[in-house]
Amino acid sequence: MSVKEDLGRMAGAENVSDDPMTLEEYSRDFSFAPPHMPACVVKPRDAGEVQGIVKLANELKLPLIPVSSGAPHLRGDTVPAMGGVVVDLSLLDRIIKVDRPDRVAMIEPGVRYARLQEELREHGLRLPMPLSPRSSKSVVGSCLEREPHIIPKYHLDVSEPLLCTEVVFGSGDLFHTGEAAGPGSIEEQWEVGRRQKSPMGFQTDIYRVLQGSQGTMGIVTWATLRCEVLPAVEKPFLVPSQRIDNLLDLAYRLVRLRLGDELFILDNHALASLVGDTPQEIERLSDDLPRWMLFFNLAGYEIFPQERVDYQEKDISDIAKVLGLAINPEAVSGLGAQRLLDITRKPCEDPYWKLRYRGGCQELFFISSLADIPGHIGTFRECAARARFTAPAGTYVQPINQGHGYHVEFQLPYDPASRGEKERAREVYLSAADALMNRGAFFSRPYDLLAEKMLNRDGQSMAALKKVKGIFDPNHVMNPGKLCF
Amino acid sequence: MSLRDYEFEMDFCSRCSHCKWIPLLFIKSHRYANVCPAIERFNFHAYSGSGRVIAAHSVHEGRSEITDELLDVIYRCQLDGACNVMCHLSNEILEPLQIIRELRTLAVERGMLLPEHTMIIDSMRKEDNVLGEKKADRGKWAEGLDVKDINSGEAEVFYHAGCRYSYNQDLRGIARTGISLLRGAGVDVGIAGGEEACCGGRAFDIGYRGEMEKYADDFANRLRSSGASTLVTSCSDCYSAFKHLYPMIGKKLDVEIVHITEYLDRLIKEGRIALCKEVPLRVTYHDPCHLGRLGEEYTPWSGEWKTVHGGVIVSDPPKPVHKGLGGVYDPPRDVLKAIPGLQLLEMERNREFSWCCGAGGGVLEAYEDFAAWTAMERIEEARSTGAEALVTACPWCERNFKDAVAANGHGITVYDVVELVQEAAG
Amino acid sequence: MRLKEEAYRVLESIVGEENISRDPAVLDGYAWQFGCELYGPEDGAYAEKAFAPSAYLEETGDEASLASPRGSRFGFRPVAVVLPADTAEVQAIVKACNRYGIKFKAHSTGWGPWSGCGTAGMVQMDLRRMNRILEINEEDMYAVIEPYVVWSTLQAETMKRGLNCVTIGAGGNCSALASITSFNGIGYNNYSMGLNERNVLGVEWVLPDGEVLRLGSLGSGAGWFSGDGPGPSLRGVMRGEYGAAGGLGVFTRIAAKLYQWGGPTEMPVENIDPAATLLKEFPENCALYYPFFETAEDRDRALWMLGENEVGYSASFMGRGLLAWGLGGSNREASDTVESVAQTFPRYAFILVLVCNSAREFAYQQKVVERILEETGGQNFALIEVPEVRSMVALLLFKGGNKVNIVFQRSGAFFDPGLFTGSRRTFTAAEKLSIDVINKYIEKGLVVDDYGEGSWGSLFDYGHLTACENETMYKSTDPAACGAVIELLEDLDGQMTEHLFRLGHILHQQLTDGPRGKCGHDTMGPLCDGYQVWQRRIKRAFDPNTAADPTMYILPEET
Repeated sequence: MSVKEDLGRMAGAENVSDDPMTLEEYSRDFSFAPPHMPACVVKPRDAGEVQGIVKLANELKLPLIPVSSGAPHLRGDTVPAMGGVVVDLSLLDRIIKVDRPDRVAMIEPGVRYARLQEELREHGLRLPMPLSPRSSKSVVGSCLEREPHIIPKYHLDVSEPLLCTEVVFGSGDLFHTGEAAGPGSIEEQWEVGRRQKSPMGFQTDIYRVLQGSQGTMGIVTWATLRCEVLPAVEKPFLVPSQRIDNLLDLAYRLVRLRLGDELFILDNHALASLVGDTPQEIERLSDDLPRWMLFFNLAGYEIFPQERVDYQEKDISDIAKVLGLAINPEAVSGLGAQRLLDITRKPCEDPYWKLRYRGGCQELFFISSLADIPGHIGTFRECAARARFTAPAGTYVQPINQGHGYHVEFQLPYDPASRGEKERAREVYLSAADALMNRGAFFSRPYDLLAEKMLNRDGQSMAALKKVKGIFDPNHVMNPGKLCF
Repeated sequence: MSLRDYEFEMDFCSRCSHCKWIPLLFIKSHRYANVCPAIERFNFHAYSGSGRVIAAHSVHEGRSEITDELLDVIYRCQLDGACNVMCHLSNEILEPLQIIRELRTLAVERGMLLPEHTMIIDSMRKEDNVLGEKKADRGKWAEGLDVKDINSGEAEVFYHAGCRYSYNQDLRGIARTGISLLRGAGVDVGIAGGEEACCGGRAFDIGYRGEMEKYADDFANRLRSSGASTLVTSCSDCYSAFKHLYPMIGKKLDVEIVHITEYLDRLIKEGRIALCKEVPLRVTYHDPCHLGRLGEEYTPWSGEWKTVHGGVIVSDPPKPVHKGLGGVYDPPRDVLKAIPGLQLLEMERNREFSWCCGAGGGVLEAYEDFAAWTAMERIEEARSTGAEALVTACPWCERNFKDAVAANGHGITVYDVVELVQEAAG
Repeated sequence: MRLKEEAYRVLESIVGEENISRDPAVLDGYAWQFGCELYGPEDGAYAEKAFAPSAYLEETGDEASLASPRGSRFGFRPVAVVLPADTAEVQAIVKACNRYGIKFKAHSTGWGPWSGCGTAGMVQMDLRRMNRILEINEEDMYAVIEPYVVWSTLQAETMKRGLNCVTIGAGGNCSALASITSFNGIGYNNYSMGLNERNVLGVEWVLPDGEVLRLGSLGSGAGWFSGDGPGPSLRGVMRGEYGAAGGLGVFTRIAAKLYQWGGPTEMPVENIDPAATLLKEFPENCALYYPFFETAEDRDRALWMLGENEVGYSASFMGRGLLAWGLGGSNREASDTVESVAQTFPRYAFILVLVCNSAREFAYQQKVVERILEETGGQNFALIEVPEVRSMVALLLFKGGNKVNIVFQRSGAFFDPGLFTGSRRTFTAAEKLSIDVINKYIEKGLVVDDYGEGSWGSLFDYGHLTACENETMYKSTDPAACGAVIELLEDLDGQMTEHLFRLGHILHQQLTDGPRGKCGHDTMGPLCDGYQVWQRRIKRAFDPNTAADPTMYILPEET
């Protein structure tokens, strides 16, 4: 019996495909990861099927590439490095539970942001979300990637908002992380009022090992997520500046003081890409917009919401004044604060904003200390200039972990059809990564070509990760060729 | 008393380590948060109040012997009482200081002696002082003072100089100044001069309990025959012996016991000493352990522990818990504040949780380097306040600080409160 | 048990003669721990059987190597204690232990049965000499600390810079690094700063085999600001809700997260006597509340409304039994309080402080609190107006307090059998269950009568999670009381598990299962998805020679 037949028996023949056109879609993405064709694609419908597939893979030493988001992929993590079977989790798309009192949702990996946020809103909740994720992005996938969200005060840890998970390890064992492990089945736990809120195991935090693993440890079949109360009143603001340093200073103070909810900084190029619909409009906006823009949004919740917004506005205004900045609730260079808030509330409309300008985009992101950010930006620009990269590269700065670090992201737009542009983007990507690593940028989530660079700098972490890999995926069936595995 | 008498108490150490720090809410910095020189310098838990109690317990139960190493642990301790105060803030049963003393007594009983301490005892037995000096020279400090001899007449105030002030050439002047100030204020004061003897406190501290009993009896007799109603001393060590140790062994003195700084404070407040001359100096005051937490009057207790409410242990009758609250803290400060032009700065560790000078408990004699290290820690703390001078009220502290400053060349001057009063009085 | 000369000399060459000891009385300073009174000499044997004997240990037949009988606090005596000065020395000690087949146990401030050696024949590492605050980074809000830095000194230094750290309920005398890497301690300000499980950035970690692992940005030479990656976060191996308690090596330096502190740089107090300590001045833009309610439901509703509106700095609930025994200086005074007025104390109450960064924020937060109390029927507990009580409670919430030792003062010991973590719906039910069970033992006269209401706990992260522990005081010198506590631990933990509540203190299971020759995880694991299998694999992978004391983590073989 062929693998396809085996998989068909487990997941239904209609959910297995080896159609070359389909396989081609999974074989490449917008990253520089070398394309490889998978042998087939399977779309399991529940955890039992996932477990069956993983067990089969162990028997046959068959690589499995878990994919929860839809195309377009940008980071190379779902490109098969060694062939094998793509496990597409898009059919696992139930919102299993939303609980207002405990501020939590339990969802499967196929659930996308738009549907979840809509459902949460009906319960008076919201999930802090990354900056305008693409419409096809899996919520669970994003959490497993440790993508930062845009409300720093709710980014309690880099693991946020992920709580408990159900996972099929690479070994084929099904496990529940955190308090979901027990005592009692999930249903029994619900019965006594538990909602799988605590992500912590007794003496291990296995969910942390799953995060950032790019599908190399196992396949998550549901996760609980920490949600927050839906604001009753909101008031967004824009703070323009020609320099980033004073905006960083303002961001630091606001995050430290827990003033405001959403907060991020974009340069004119990134902001233009986020709000512009066409390359022409993006170019125009890039020219019109100030060099840097800090966005923040004030929110009031259930009790005296307007008063909360009012006092925060006054406090922030005082702080901004000291820094020589003005906070603007209306529009800056034609861009309304409310419009930007609307954009951040929803996933991105297609095409994905990072792809809008040239059709392709390479992200280069890392975590930085506050003080190093301007220097990192300078270094990146030098690398881009050296590589004669002329397209406007966007910059996005996101305070994370309640102000204990900053996600810094450069976006290198390129025309995928232009070999020259792509090559130049690649050159900047690699040379800037090297230069940035050398000056203290920490690529905590290194994808494709950067993984080796980063892990080579830390032999002990690599050795430790290999031990962990040996525990959860002893036969190396899970997404081989990624990270250091 | 012996360790057997503390069998119950010894069980009540939870190893919380509060004995290692000043009271947590009073901590102002990481640098000066520690309260016990021994654990700070030697690090093994056995060097802390808790560790010493555990070691005593271990020896008492026969789990371990007093080895040479343990002997070092036992005696590398100034017996400054800091651990006792910190423990008593949240433990009324455990008596760390008493148990530490009992362990020293046991060491002596078992013949585990330090040669340096044997010399002290020999000196006391032969010459009635702890410094190895001749008894015949005891009264020299007062030569030419024309002060009443208490041996041949009565006085309202009995002034006791103590071994250090009597014999130390550098410090003698402080005792003389003290007498002059008292007399200048019209106080009827007398001294025992050459007949004065050691208070015996140091012998008690190093485990020779019987020695102090002898001195206490002798002192009480002399005091009684002097007709004095007030006993004044400039030595904090002696003050603590009179006020704290004598009652501990059932030999409470039946007079008012006053440290010279208390007496001067009174005289200044009564207008009997006028401080007119400016002393433009930034100073910090070091609370001598024996004037501060160990200057608290000791109230003996004998009673029993009862268990109520399923496990709560209460003393019957209520047991006084010594927390150092009754020590002499404000009078020396008030004296300094009364000096025109003088600016008093506080160190982080003061009053009940003052850091020891390093000299006490037999450490200066047996572990000179540890005494010096402890002093330097304090001098550094004093300097961190911005003070030009370190002022104290105990000859042991003064000697140890002066020696440490001389050896290490730190630019801070060491004064006794009395010296500054004299300067301000003109 | 004795360490052979060759091995001892090697350890001595690493730390120097001054920093190693095998003197029995010195070693007993490490054998003695509270909680050890609960077990006896036989209780480490099950673990010992699982270990390969070392050729470098000599059996001396010395009874003092073993834990003393129930009612005494001498636990297992180490064969040597070493005081390393830095990471290199820790690493060398660990490698030597691996070479000689000797087990080691490291502790920082070392308080509790989980700090000492789990069996005879181990080397105790006392990390006291590693006591530096290496950096306080105000921009990225962290402090790089060594193991012996305690919460109180860290807090004093950070408050000078307008920052603060979590101070755990056990007190400011505890190691911050140990709490963050290796143990669990809940604190009043978990409400706004979270559990310490999440309060770590970069970590330097000497693994049980002696290799040094540096987590996150530190490993890549980028600094201390991140603890996760590259790739999967090894924090997941480092700890769970409860740390590995020394079973996975030695943490030598960490970056601890700090948070905004809107209060003053210093909070001067007077009178060292905890019963009389007074805050000299109540800080600006801060307020203290002690409301009580008719029902547990009202109390919980008020607490969660506060959380959802993100109001407050520290919040905690405290059972009236604990409050009553906590008041008063001496045990006699406390007994009088319990007898005379404790029954009149409100059953359902909580304590809350606001620490605001501006007058506007303060006005807003006060307004919200008042509205919530109005809606839930919260009334002011008049006791809080007594100056000493007001200071005591305020300082507990601001700084972790000065009087946490009270649970030892009254009877000599306490344990927390009712420790559980949960969320909104389970909190009151689990607390009630613990009260009912504890009262059975109170009725038998075996533990201190606090009506079973010795509970206290905190909301984490504005109410997303909670933890509660029901402190039970008992006479530590009474073997019968100690036996009853073990029985109570077993009884209550069993009932908690039966009711499907989540235990917060897995080490209880170790204490109750150990005497039966079983590793606690082998009891709990089968009820919880078989997690023990994975934990055991982690232990084996990272500690192939079982060099790090496994007794408070997991034994390498199933029991």
